[in-house]
Amino acid sequence: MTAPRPKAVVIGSLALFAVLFVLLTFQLSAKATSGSAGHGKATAKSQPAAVEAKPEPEEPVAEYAEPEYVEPEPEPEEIPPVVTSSS
Amino acid sequence: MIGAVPQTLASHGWWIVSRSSGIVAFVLVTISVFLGLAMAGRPVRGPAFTRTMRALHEQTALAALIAIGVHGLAILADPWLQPGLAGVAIPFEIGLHRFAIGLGIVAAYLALLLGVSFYFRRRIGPRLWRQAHRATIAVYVLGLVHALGAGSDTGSPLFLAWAVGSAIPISVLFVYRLGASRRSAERRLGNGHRGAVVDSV
Repeated sequence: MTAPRPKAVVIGSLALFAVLFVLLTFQLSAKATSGSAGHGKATAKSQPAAVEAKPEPEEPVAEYAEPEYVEPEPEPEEIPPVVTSSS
Repeated sequence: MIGAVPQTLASHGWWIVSRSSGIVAFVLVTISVFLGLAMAGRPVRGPAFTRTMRALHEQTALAALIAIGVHGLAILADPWLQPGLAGVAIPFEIGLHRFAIGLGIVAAYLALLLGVSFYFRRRIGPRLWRQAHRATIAVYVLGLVHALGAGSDTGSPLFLAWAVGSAIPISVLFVYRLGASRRSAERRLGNGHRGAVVDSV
């Protein structure tokens, strides 16, 4: 069996990963942020938003149309019944 | 701009973490494989050089394993991708970039197996372990195909420069090592044959 590895190897590896990881994460975030501010389309935008909000179903907005004015037809004048007297 | 970074991290955090850990893993695997091949080729001899190279090789390999683990966990937690445990753990299970991601998962298992085997090399047997350790080049090749096929940063000139720039010296060292092993085997055979002739006389 091999001799137990010194803690320094593990700590060194963790530190190496942590430094590279933090630097790159910050760099990628900054790039995505500047991209969205500058061109409207960030690098991050190539992945859609994590939780896409479902759009509320919009009611169809009917176009407002001025109702045409239709002149009412004149009511036919009432003709008084002709009363004929019968004698 | 710096103030907006946490906001971007909050909205696309897992994706950015998976990208950065993936790039770090690939870079560290590249360095580790390069150092391993350089050590095997023995361009410079000397105990101090060998000790330093071995320590660097081990540290970069361990750091790469950590990065691979973080990469897998970040992808598992990505709410947009939602690969599920099977998608991250079983090769060729995920629908998106099935082939490239599948090769990445195979590379991760191979890296874990070969990396951990280093600490059990005496139990395995130095000769068998050394033969198995030669498969480490496959981790680099599979990782390269995985990164080019499924990575979000394949269009980055810096990433492409690293991928191409690392492939050339690694290929040269690998071919040199293959040649060295063949020469060494021939020498051993030659010695054995001479020994047999001497024995027979």
